Formats: sequence, C-alpha cells, structure tokens
Amino acid sequence: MILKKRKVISSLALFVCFLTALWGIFWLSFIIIDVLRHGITAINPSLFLNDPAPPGEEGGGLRNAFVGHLLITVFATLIGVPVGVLGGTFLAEYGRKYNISKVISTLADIMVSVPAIIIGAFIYAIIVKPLGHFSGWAGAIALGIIMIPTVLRTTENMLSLIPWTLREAAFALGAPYYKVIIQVVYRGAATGILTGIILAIARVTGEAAPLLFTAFNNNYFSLDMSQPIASLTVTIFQYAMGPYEEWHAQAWGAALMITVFILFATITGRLLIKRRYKG
Amino acid sequence: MKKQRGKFTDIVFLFITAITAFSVIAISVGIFIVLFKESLPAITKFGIGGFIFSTEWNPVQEIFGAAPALIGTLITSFFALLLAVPIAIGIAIFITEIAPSFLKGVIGTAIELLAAIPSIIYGMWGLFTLAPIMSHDIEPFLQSTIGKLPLFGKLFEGTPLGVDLFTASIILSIMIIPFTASIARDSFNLTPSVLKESAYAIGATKWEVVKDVVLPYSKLGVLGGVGLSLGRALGETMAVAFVLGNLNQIPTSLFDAAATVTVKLANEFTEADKDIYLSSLYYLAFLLFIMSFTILALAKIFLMKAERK
Repeated sequence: MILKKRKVISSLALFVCFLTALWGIFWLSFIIIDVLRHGITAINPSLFLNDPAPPGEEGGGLRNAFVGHLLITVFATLIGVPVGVLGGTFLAEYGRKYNISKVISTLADIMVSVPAIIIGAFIYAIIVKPLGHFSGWAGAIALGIIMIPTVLRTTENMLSLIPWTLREAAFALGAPYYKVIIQVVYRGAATGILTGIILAIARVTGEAAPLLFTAFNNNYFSLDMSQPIASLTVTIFQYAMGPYEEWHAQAWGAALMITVFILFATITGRLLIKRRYKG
Repeated sequence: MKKQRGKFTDIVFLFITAITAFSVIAISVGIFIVLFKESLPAITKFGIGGFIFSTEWNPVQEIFGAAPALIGTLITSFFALLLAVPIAIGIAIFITEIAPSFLKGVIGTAIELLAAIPSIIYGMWGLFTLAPIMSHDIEPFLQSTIGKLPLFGKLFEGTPLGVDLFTASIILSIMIIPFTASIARDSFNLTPSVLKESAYAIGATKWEVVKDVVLPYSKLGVLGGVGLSLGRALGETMAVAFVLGNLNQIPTSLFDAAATVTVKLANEFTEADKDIYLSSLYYLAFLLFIMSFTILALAKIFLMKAERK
C-alpha cells in the first residue's frame, strides 16, 4: 500500500516536470508564431527598398534601418571578433599558467551577463559626450564591447580542447609558438571558434538598449558612421511605442526579419558544434 | 638569422594577444570608474542614503531619488525568479531524467532558443499580444479568485490595464528560464551514477532519487544558475520598457504601472538636459552595475565550487 502511494507520488511529480517542459515550449511557439503572423503581412518590397515616409503616407519602408543595422553589426564584429579571438588565445596558450588568466576568464564570464544598457551608458560618457553628438561608431563600439567576452570565452574553451600532443609534434619540427598556434591550433579549433563568433553576432543583432544613446536613430538614409544612424532594433522600439498603425506593422516586419536571422544563426551554430564534437 | 626573426614575431604575437586579453580587465575597471565619475555630482548632492531611499524624481526642481526605480527592479526580478526557478528546475529534471533520448536534444534546443530571442521581441510581443490578454482575461480572473482573499488580495488591487508589474514579471520569467534550466541540467548530469544506482537499488522511486540524491548533490550548481538568472533579470531593459509604463511611484499592487532602473535609463537618458539630471541617471546605472556585478560574481563562485566537487 505504501509502495503504491510512493509510486503515485513519483509519477505525479514527474508529470509536473513534463508540464514545465510544455510550459517553456508553449511560450516559445506562442512568441514565434505571433511574430510570424504579424510580420508576414508587413513584408513587402517597399519595406526593404524605401526610406521612412511621413505617418499617413503609403509606401514607407525601413531601408535606412536595415542598412544602418548591417553597418553597425559589421563594424561591431570587426572590433569584437579580433579582440575576443586573440584574447582567448592568450588565455589558452601563452598565459595558461598564470593566475591572471583565470581572473580574466572569470571576469569575462561575469561581463557576458552585465546589463547591455550599462555598456551604452559607458560609451555615452567616453565617446558621445566628448564628441558632442551621437554616432554610428559609438554604437558599433558598444556592440563590439558586448561581443568581446563571449568570443573570448568560446575561443579559450575551444583551444583548450586541442590535445597538447598536437602542439608538441609541431614544436618538435622546430616551429615557433606563434606558428604552432596559427597553423595547428587554430586549424583544429576553427569550427568551434566560428560557432562562437556566429552566436556572438546573433546576440548583438538583437540588442537595442546599448544603441539607444550611442547610435541613436536617424529617419533618413545614411552611410556616415560618424553621424547618428538608424538601426532596426531602435526603430522597432520607436515604432511600436508610436501611435500609428503603419508604424506597428513595419515594426512587426522588422521584428520578423531579426527573429528569423537570429534563430537561423543560433541553430546553425549549434549544428556546427554538434557535427564537429559529436560523440 | 631566420630563427631570430621567428622569435621576434613570437614576442610580437604574445604581446598582441596579451593586450587583447587584458582589455577585458580594462573595460570592466573602466566601466566602474567612468560610471562613478559621472555620478559623482549626484552622489555629492544627494548622498547615498538620501538617494536610495528618496521617492522624489523631479527634473524641474532637480531633486532625484532612486527608491521607486530600485523597488520596481527588485519586485519584477523577485517575481520573475519565483515563477521561473521551479519551472526551470522541472525542465532540467525532465531533460536529464525523464525524456527519451530523441526528445532530450529537441527540448534542450527549444528552451535555449528562448534565450536567443532578443529582448526587444519579447517586449513588443508583450505589449501587443500579452498585455491585452492579461488585461481582458487573466488579471480580472485573478482578481475574482485570489484577489478576494484577505491580505493576499491587496497585491491584486487596481484596474487591470495589462501594462504593469505583473505582465513585466511574467515576460521576465519566460526570458530567464533558459539560464537556470541549462545550468541546472549540467549540474544534474554531474551527479555520479553510482549514487543514483544505489538509491534505486534500495527501492527508491524515480522522484525520490531526484529529490533526495540528485537535487542535494547539485544544489550549488543550481544556486549558481539562479544567481545568473537574477543577474539577467535585474539588467533586462527592452522587454520591460514596453510593458511597465515608466511611472515614478512606489507600487502598492502587482497591477500598478511602475519603473525599473533600466526602464528609467532607456526612457530618460537622451532627455536629460541638465547635468545633475544626467548625473542622477548615471548614479542609477552605477547602482545597477554594482548590484548585477555582485550577484553574477557570487553565482560564478557557486558554479566554480560546484565544478570543483
């Protein structure tokens, strides 16, 4: 009798765990389906080809925001990836024996989760305020800083997975350390590092908070990174909070494009790493 | 001669990698110093206690206090954790102990995708989809059930508008589930199978094994995961900015609009026309940085201890 009761309790508790998994999946599908449903109707050529029109006028688009977002993300990647990869190289190779490397690793782990809006405030103080105006560069640097710890930690982990004997074999041939790293270690860890980079790009693509007071916004098409520049995420914030129906529709369209890109990038990254390190 | 050049390049490469690695320290320390420097005028004008406990936020008279924003941040984060942690642990148990192997990967990925969706999408979805559902169905329902209870009912008073602490906490809780869940899953997997098998051998049911063997063994790791989620919840900006209303008051009910530190920063930073206004916002940012940094550092310490075991 007691055994039966315990079995019932066990099945009940496990069933609750099953429900919690459903709860998570429910919200994921709810959000994705909702973004798809609203976003699809807003996707048309003029969304990509036209610049914003005054409210009430037909045919406005978000070309400026798409281009601006691309520019900011590309430059952020150019800042964040080299610094992150080289820094991770130091931690896993030259500096692996020093305590300071462990300190940097730990600090990077913490910095990954530090609120993005803080980074925005930091860049505002050191770049926007001294220059006296918002700029695309400030936005790119803010996002680049957010990328660094993520890329650095994945690079460090991926390099540590390369067996030490591989390096010793290269040393035995008389290769200096930098050649061993570039020609042997990087090659072995390339997929892992690439995954880290993809995931970091996916993360910063969705950031809005650090751009609010660095890149700011711009209603006109601009390629000038030294001036305020539009981004999709800041535009979504402005349009969704605005009073016009067309704005809401365009915000949904932009939200759909960002969500699709990020989910695609994240899943690609995960598949890459799975194929490389299966088993 | 060739060897010499190799050695020289090696030193240059070492030097470059070292500088980039130390940039992490430089950025962290730099953020601390810059935020402190920028908030110095506000710190000297309002003091520490005078800022944290004051409820006034008046840009015209240049009097600023952080209490409503800090309380908003603490309430939303607390309720989000209250909802998210049990669910995240349930999900981790499901993935590690119950799910058949073909489901493990699928559900694990699905939960991690919840973390990949950008916060601005959560916010927009919250404003246009979740908030109306909240104000039409869920909040009136809660008022007519739990709201009738004495004492507890106080939390559910007011007109249900959907743009309030309750909706914000629900969205936050969905966003932070994956952080606790993935760390709890990893910690559960660290439990030695010998321990579990011995429990099964003396006749324990599956739930008893989870409750009495796996959970106690991995509690440090789970605690670390909870800390990480809390750190995320404190600093979440865009998702909350859409559905909280940026109202500077001490909320008395979960159905009140409110402000958090991040929402205040997002909404007012570019409007701050006076130095002391901007400095007060930096003071808020500084407090937020210290709070989230401390909690994340504690979480990291727990996780490192759990790994060492």
